[in-house]
Amino acid sequence: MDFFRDQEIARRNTRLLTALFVLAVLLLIAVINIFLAFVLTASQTLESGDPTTFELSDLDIRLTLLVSIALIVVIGAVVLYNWIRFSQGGRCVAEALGARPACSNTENPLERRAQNVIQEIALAANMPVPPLYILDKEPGINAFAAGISPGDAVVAITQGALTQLTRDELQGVIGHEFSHILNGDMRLSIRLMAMLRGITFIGDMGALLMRSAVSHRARRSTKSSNNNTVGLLLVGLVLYLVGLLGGVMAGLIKSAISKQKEYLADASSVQFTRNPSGISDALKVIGGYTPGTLVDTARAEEMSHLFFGQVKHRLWLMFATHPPLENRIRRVDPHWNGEFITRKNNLSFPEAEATSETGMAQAQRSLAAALPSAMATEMGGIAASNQQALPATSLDQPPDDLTAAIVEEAREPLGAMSLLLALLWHENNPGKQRAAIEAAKISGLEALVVERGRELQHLKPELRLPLIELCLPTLKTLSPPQYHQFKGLLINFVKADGQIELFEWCLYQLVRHYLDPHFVKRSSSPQHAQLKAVSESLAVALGTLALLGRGDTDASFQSGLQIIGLPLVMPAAEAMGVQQFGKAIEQLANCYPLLKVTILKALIKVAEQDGQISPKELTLIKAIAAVMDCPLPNQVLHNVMLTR
Amino acid sequence: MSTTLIIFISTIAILLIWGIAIYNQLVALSNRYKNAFAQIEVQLKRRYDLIPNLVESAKGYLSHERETLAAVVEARNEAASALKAVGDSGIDSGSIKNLAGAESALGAAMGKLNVVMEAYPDLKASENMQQLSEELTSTENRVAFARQGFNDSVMSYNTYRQSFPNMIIGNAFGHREDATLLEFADSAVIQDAPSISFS
Repeated sequence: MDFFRDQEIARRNTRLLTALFVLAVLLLIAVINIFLAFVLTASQTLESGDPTTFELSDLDIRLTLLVSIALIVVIGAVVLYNWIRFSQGGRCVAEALGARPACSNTENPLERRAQNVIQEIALAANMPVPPLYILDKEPGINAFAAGISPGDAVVAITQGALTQLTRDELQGVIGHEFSHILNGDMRLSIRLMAMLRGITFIGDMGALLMRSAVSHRARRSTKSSNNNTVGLLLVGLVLYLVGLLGGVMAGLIKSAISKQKEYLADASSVQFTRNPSGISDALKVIGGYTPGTLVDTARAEEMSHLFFGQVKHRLWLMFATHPPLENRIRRVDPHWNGEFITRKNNLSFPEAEATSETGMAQAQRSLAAALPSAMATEMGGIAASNQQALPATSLDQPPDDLTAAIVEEAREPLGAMSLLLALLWHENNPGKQRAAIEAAKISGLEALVVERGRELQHLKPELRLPLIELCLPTLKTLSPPQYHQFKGLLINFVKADGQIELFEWCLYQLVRHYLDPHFVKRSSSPQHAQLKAVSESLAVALGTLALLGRGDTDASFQSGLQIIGLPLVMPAAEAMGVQQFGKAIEQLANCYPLLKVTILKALIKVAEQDGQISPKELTLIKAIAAVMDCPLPNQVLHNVMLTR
Repeated sequence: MSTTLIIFISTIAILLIWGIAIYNQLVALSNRYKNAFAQIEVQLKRRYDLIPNLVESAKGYLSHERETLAAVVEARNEAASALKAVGDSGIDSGSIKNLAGAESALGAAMGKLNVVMEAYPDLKASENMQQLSEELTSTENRVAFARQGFNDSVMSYNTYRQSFPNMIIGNAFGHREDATLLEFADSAVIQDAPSISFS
């Protein structure tokens, strides 16, 4: 599965979408105008008594123009409003749909299980854990992912999915949602949603006008106001009918763009979970479950393409946003015997995992255990592709995995803050860092940081990034003042020893990149379509990585150039400070997706020139990928290594 | 007629969109402070779970201080039911004030217990007790931190709700009341050094 190509396809689909939308608006305008002209001629006929026939040439130019402009203004305003609103991130969409955020350290066993599943898959995808939202009171089994970039993505699931699915099936469903995030479908979905809202809004307004006209009439039945009410009713009816037509067109557009993406996401889900039965069983359970995937929320219809399964019943396949269940199951499980799975009662998950306190602790431990093992398989994959084993770096260090206590701590705001600071803790020279914490005046933080700082001193380098990614979503629950306070503290912490290390840069950038959009408004769009435009930044990035390796710096740099295909010169050492490096990566982040993959390939090539990728290099590459908004799922990393 | 009608409809549409925007923001902000409360809830529950353990371990040593222990248990139960009431009835000003009151009482009772425990060095030295009080201190710090976050979000909700023209929309569509800040009166009491007489 090539996520980068899919991102590019999604981008192209956006253009197709815009074209379809313009077409739909033009069609709407034409229909309204013809209808108006028809009504006007008809009324003239009634008044004069002459039987005049309706012709297109009868269109009153001024009226037509006015109506058209008014329509465009209204549709434009609605689209713009929704666009801006939904671009603020996934949580706005989730909140609009009535979902509630699940507490990151919830004690509800079912929500806890879902949180764990999300964390595991985020790990496989190498992206920060998206916050979990719950759609309460929805018995149907469904889920959706929303957000523009991985940094502001959220995953929401219905109550039905929480209670009806087993852990494996839930994993399949959430894997499906994650691939939507990675394929760049969310940006498209959100634009689609904003545009379609513009079309359907007309119908809503018509309904509103009709309703107010009817209630107006019921209250006052004097003759003078009667004429007005009839007029209002008529206008409302016309708008409503036009809205219906718009709804039909919106349905067609949605259906055209949505279906193919669903097959793709099902396939990627199998890749994430490495377990085809997870998603296919989930689909079979849906087939055998009476509420199916239906969702009741008022606004579910307009956002139906975001969901895991069909939100409303569809009579015609033409309007369906999702392919038929049977087809989806067959694509994942070709040997399916055609039988659905029926679950009689709720809560079919194993007792041990959920209900008891020990079960929860067990789940904690399993997650803690999953972290290093996931890293290990990835490292193993890299080693295999290099056809030589990695040096046994992990053996001469004490085995300091992430303990269950640390994973637990990462779920709680104060704990997550202390863990991030502890990663930066200088055991030998704590004076200024202590002062920085004291200045922040957060009670209890200092003790936590010192304690964890000692513990994390010996953390394996390759576990640092997963730990950071585990902490980031929890910090989204801070209030804005608390976040700004924390960011200030983080900066002071990094600067405490008078110099900025590469890892410190990585951590700060990750925090800034994933949390800033949540608290501060920000927008950026790709600017660079050619590598030439960013050649200087490229040279700095490749050069820094080449310096980090153990082999011949120049040879490493040159090997990266083979992939880039540009004649770059290795910058002087003083031009490659952490600050220059930071600026360079920020510029590279503004490239188009397909360029980013070339850049990442070149970086990997440079890193492995000396025959191995050290954990330090790997962390740096992953951090760069994260800042560039294109998280590298483990298997993609693996593929890149294989196909070099 | 048609020109005025079009202007009329466009104006209504724009006003409608504006109103929807304000309403949505109100909903978002109120969801945010409710979520912030969930953070406090988790930590408070943890605190209420730890206190009976503490009392249980202290019982053996404090056989002459039954009253103090009973007061702690009672205050703990009060606070736990107040927290449950907030969960059941939603975050309204009455239930929040109840919780704040119960928490203050619990804080005072715990403060008294701490003073009493000073007199039993064996008790303080026991490993179990040290671990428990460390856990409790840490949890209390977390409560304080989560409470600050909750109060920040309540503040931003209130400010947004009270400003013009948001208050019109808010009053019309179910955002009529300010959310209540969670203030524990105990913080001052606890930080006061216990008065000890040497007579």
